[in-house]
Amino acid sequence: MKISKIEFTGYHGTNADNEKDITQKSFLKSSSREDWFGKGCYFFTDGISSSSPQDLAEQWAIDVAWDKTIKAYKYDKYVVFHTLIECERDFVLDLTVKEGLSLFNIFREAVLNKIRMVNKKLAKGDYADSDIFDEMKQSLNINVIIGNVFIKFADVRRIPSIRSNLPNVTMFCVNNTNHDYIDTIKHEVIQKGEIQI
Amino acid sequence: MNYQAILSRINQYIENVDANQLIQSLEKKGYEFEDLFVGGLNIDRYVIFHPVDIVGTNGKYTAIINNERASYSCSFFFCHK
Repeated sequence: MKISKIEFTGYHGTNADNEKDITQKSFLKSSSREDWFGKGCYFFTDGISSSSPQDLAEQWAIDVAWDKTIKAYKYDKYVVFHTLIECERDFVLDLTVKEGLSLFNIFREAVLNKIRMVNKKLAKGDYADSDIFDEMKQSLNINVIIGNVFIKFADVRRIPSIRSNLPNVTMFCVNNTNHDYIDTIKHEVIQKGEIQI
Repeated sequence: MNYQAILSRINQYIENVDANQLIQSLEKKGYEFEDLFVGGLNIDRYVIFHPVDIVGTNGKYTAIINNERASYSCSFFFCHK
């Protein structure tokens, strides 16, 4: 049987200090529970934004350089990687279409019902989407999640009259290995820049 | 995306996953759980198959079952083991 694969093109902006490690190894998975689709590595891709995914990756690299605690940039040089990922269709969750969102809701309800069946409920707090996504990756072998999310870039934060949480970018999250680094077909630096302080 | 393939794996998950293991894995992520019932009552097995939450005490209990709120007496939906 022929295996049906999908190729994803993405852009990832980061501290220039990471260039060597990423080039030699690959992208390190994030482990923050604040991330949209759980653990993995995130890439901007073509979708709903009016900006190009490469521009978004550049803006991201600049925005996350700012440390609001010390009110200074953590780094002043950044790079943008262009990346190709391949994944079998069966292991892609596409949240840009209603079927994908429906699968997420079905799975979340299944998780909550499992918990209710043993007479348990959360003592405090809420279930984070990112943890449900991590459970999907682990239990259903989902390797790539693509979806539209809202990111409040610094240029929007500077405009006090805008209050929105509607999705403004399309991203995909890759978690296709059992170790810390993801697998790519290729990845290369296509842009280098310096933050104007 | 292959909707049917993922749906099929979700159905397998529903069949096979052990709820206690699921709770343990969520506890490792920092979640804390408590018993669903309050007031020292045990929930009858009949109710266990429904999403149920109890939001009152005092002899009469308001249960939310499948998102519908209704009041029940203790003897109707709950039993003491």
